[in-house]
Amino acid sequence: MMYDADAGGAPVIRVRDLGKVIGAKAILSNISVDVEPGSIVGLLGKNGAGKTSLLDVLLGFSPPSSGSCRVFGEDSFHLPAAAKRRIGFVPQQDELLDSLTGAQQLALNAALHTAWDEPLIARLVREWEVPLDRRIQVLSGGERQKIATLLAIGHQPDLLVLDEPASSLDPVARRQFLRELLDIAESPTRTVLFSTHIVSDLERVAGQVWIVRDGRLVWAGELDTLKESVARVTLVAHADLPSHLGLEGLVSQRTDGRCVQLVLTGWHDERQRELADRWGAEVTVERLSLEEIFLELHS
Amino acid sequence: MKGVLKTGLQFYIRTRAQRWLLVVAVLSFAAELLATRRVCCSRSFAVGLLAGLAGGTATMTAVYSAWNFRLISALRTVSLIPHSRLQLAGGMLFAQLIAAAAGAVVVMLVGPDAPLPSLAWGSPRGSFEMLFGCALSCAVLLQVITGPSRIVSVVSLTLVGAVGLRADLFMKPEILGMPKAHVLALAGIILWVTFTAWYVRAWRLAGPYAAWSRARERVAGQIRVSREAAIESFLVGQPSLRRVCRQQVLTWMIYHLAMIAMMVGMKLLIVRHNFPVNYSAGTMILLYGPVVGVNVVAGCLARGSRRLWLRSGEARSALYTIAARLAWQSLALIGVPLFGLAALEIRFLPHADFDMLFPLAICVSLTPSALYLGLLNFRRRLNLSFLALYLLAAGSLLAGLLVESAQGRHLLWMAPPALLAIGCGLRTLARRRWYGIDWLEFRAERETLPFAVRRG
Repeated sequence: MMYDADAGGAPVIRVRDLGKVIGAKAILSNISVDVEPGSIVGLLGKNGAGKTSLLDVLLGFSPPSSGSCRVFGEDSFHLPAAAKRRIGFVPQQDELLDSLTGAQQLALNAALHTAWDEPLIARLVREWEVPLDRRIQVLSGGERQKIATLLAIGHQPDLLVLDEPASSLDPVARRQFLRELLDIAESPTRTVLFSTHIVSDLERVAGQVWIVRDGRLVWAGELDTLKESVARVTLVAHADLPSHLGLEGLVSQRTDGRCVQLVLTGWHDERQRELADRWGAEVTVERLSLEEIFLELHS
Repeated sequence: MKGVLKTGLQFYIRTRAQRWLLVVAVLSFAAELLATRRVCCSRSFAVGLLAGLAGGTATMTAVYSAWNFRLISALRTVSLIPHSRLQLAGGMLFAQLIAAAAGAVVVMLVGPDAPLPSLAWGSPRGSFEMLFGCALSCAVLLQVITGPSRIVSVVSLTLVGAVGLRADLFMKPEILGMPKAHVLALAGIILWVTFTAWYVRAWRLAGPYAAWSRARERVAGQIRVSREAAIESFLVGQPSLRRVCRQQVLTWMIYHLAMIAMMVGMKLLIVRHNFPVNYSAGTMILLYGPVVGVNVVAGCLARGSRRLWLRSGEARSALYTIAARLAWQSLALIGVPLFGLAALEIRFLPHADFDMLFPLAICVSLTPSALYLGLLNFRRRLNLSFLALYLLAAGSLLAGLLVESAQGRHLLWMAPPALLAIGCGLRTLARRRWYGIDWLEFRAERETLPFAVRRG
């Protein structure tokens, strides 16, 4: 079920047995995953699941307590300047300077980078209607988020990491933003990793999905594969069914006498016949949306 | 009423730190009482230290409670329910009543055995009224003039605690004399009533700077654009370090002038007019300024470092070097004018009956410790600033004790080198911490702005 971390060429991000403990609490455990160049990865999880912590460790803000994490082949905690130049990051809580205007903020950021795509920024400012002449402190949450995003993409990073980038945007701005995200990711070498609560955004953009629960990666792989491999199965038998069916990949089970509703991972069509033969039951299979899968995985 | 009483108590026991501070204050006070009776000499060095510890912790508990009120007072839920606002304001009044009552009891227990002068301080009622008036005024002013998002932050108001520790300077009748106690109490109550009337009725809470900020919004200043300027701005969190330091100098000069105005006002109000002129309280503010100011600026640099980890490409060690250089620059920019002015005042203006050059030496040697404590402060929390205040308080206390105690005079020479040695120790600690800093532990805290101003 897990994404095959050892397949393919040189990954942009390579994580092995990553763990992070703060105080006595393990906030990340046993995470192994790779991100290939050109992929768009959506990171999904409840509040406090460990999404932001995972991104912080990936980007070197925090050292792992165990395991390893490499970005562009470099240890993330000691990223050299050359690797950092290839990364753009939009944090969950923006780090803008309140007393500057948006234009000043962009100018200062441009001064830190050797390659700054002024035409791209000018176009996005126009399309997103970003007020650059006003102080940051008086801007709305959405306007601030747009500027934070511009700061992250102006130097055309190879790896763009966004921590809940669209949470403060209105529906129109969110749609524009997602379209832009797709444009940015069009380049075969550019990789995008973003965390979100909004499942529909993820479905619209991401090719791969990571689902984090209680600091563990419960799914990392292709979005389509996830959708195909998770199914809600209803068994209606002639006699009462046991409370524990002992099935592989069982996510949840609701038993009501002769009727059992199961959510299973690793689903394939042969399993339908196996279940019918084993329990002498009528089996119906229902495919789930990503939102339903997410809810089932967290039930 | 029950809610008001509960709220008032909560201001002192809400956090674990506050509860510990209270325990330390009570234990130190009890120890001081015992020591005073055994030694039979109120000016003993050990007794003085215990008194300082008790006073220091009690003052910090009070400042902490005022800080708590600031945080709670701006919560959205509170701002939507006028009744809870009234409860909070009532709780604040009750909290100051508790503080004043406790202070009055302390004054009665450890006060002078000699007959009281014809001034209010020292008598039970007078002490209570005076403490109540001062505490209430400070608590209200704290709500009105500070804002955590600004560099002129509540940390500057550690001054309240620091001045509180040197209250004896103000209380000596031969130095300043005192206004009538009930005048102070009345002033505090009028301030509280005015504040509460506004706080309970305000439809939308906005800070006193709101109108000024709106006016300034249109005229954004020019900034330098270069790699160095960008690194400096992102670290400081403001357009430039010079601007931040200018704000600090300006703030402390305002405090200084306010103190002088207050002294003049007190002189007009006092019962006796025939005491010598003394400017030491005003000069003390100038001495505290660089210590607290550089701590605040260095704290901003530490918190800003996360912004630059990816943007600048610099390693943690390089970021530390830049931050430390900027912190020392800020020390020069704040310290030279304030310490310079203090030195001039010490040279040319009349002062108390002790040598003010010694507090100057103490405060100058305290600045490196305050600087490196600031660089260790990656969180916008009070803990480390409280430590800075402790250092400052310890320095003041030591200065007073060493000068006034006969046995302490022999130890005078040790104080500045000892403080510099502490600074060196903190420098080593700061370097080690920066080299392995885990920013995940110090994520930007979501602030609840007191008098939050949100303009779309």
